[in-house]
Amino acid sequence: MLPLSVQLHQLFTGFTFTFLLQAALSTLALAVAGCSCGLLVGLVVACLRRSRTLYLLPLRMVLVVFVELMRRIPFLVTLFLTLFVLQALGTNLSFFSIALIAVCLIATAYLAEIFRAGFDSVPQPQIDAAKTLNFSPLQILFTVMLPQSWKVVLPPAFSFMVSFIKDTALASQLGVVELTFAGKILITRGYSAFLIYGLVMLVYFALSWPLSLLGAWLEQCTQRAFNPTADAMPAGTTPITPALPNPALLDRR
Amino acid sequence: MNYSLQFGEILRHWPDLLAGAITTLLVAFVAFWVGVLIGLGGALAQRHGRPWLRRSVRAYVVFFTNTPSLIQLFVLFYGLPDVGIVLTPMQAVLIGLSLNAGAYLTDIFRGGLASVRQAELEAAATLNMNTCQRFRYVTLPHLAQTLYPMLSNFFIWIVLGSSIGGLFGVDELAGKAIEISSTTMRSIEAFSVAGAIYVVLTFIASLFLYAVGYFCLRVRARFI
Amino acid sequence: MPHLDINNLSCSYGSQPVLDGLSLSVEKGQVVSLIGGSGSGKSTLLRVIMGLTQPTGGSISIGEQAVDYGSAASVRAAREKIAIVFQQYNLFNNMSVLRNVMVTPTRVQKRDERKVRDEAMTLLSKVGLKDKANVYPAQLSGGQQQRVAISRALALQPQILLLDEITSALDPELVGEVLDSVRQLARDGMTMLLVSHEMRFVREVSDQVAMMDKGRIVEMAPPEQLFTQPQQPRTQAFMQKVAWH
Repeated sequence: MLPLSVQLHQLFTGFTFTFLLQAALSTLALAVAGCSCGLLVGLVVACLRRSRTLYLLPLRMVLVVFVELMRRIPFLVTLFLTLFVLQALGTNLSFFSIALIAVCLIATAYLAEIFRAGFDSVPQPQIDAAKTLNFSPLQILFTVMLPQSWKVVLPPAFSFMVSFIKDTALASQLGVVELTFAGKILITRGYSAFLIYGLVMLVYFALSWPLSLLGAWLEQCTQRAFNPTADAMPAGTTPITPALPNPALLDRR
Repeated sequence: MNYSLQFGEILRHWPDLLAGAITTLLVAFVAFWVGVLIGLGGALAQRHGRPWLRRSVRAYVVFFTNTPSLIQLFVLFYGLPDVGIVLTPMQAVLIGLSLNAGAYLTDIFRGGLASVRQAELEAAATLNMNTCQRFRYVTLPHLAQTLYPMLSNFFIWIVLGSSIGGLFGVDELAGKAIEISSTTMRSIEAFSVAGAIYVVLTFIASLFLYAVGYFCLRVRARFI
Repeated sequence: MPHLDINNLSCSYGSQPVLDGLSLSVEKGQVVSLIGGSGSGKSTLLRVIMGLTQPTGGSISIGEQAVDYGSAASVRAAREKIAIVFQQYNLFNNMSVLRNVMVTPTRVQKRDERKVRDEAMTLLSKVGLKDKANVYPAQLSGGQQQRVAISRALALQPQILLLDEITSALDPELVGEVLDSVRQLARDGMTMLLVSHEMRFVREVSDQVAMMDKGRIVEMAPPEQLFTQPQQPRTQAFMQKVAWH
């Protein structure tokens, strides 16, 4: 191992630092791609689960099983399974694409569950009223359900997406060169593990913390929305809203 | 494309996987309860402690909830030897997961403490209860009631999260799966069986926690 | 030719019959009131007419058109002609008062936005809420919300209006303002089928009053006759129990 002063000098002058930054971008790319896919597909999944049409029943059952499996199998196992299944199928995908697919699957399941909880929070009479006014299912979704459920959906969805930045650390196990794996590479080049992993930790922190603060602020905003009396609420009746890890798992009350 | 699934070899390692599942539960159990202790202490310190204590607890929570637990374990396991502290994989995983859980649980308990109604505490004070008794008879039952669903879900979350222990050679379920997949070269089977065991494990745990909550605390937690 | 014709209608939740061979017709321009104890099926009847609850037998026709509750298109056509005002107002919480009134004519019926806006403002000023157009439902009193709900129903230009216990959720001092709006509608010749517990109001505004019990209509007569000389023992018992204010 190199002496500490040499390590520090090299770390902040050489290409090592930009190397870490590029890896951070790769981490962000995984998280953003997973979340965008999760938001879109998760919304569709949540909508399909609400449909009552008989011929969609098999699809609904598949979706329920998919969501439950994804939420009860560890991220790590899902990642490895995706890798090995895709390799066995003979696909020639890069590690990054494989991690991307796994990340999308997981985000979809969790966000679908968050959307479902949001939709369940819309009172049935609101939907009945829209039906009697001849709203089409899509109109009910976009003019009644989404506008009314976003304040239930946004806080857990946002904190899930923030925690997703951390979860993608596991993709390093597939060999995707994101932050964690970049750290490993640097350590094999003679840097101190303590130094490098400490640094990697700080980079994650720098990515995640501002977003958590933003999430907490958003949550405060959503609590006031449509509820002008919220400020006048007596002390002690404020709902419990601690910052939670993977909220989709935790909000299953 | 010519991959044919053969579960036979995995099923021969059945006792191994079962032992792994038990280790997983043990690790999760230890991490959870140490986390609960840290969390309760942290939440109380944040509420009643001196400013410097409050600030340092806050810093701990913010730092541990905003960094991946994988990296926390890396620092503990690969980093600490650089400064002369060598931990076994099991020690590193238990310490790391407990500290991580403690940070999240501090936040959860803080929310719970904030939701205790002041009027109830005042009523207890007029009944001449001292601080300890107030905590025992008012705060704790309230926390158990309101936080139970969250705590039981958190336990499941730790069961899943403890799988990263396998990457450090801890013999829990994911670790066993990694080991079996590398010795038998039947990776898909190994990991899908491990996944299935995780599903069954968490499902039984949810069911058990639901029953405990329902019969002991009269709380209805969702278990699906 | 009756405007709304209900024939031998039945409906059940599980094995529990809620409507049991009910027949009723409403002529154009008539106001028909349904009275009866709770659980007699009054609100279920309105829900079935609106296609929110599936009937298990019988038929309903509007104008000359029979409604097939199995077919989405047929239910849509029925909802074009009938509007309902709910007990709990059910205004869309996420929309301002004006948008609540305008959203269906513009988005569902695809009518011209400017024209609809003028109509909506006229409707709102009729119920005295012109100055609340840009306020959200949560900031209104129950009575004001219910008057907005009536405007929202009328904005559809329905042929028939259903009113489901529209004053039951209101504070007593707010009931008057809502009933005044309904009286005005009755004078304008709106065809209405209403469920109400306000006996004095029912007596004043209705052309026909139907007494319901156990999912059927026990007795139907003009109000003076039903309130002063009820024929059926069930109606007599009910009349003795209801409080006269």
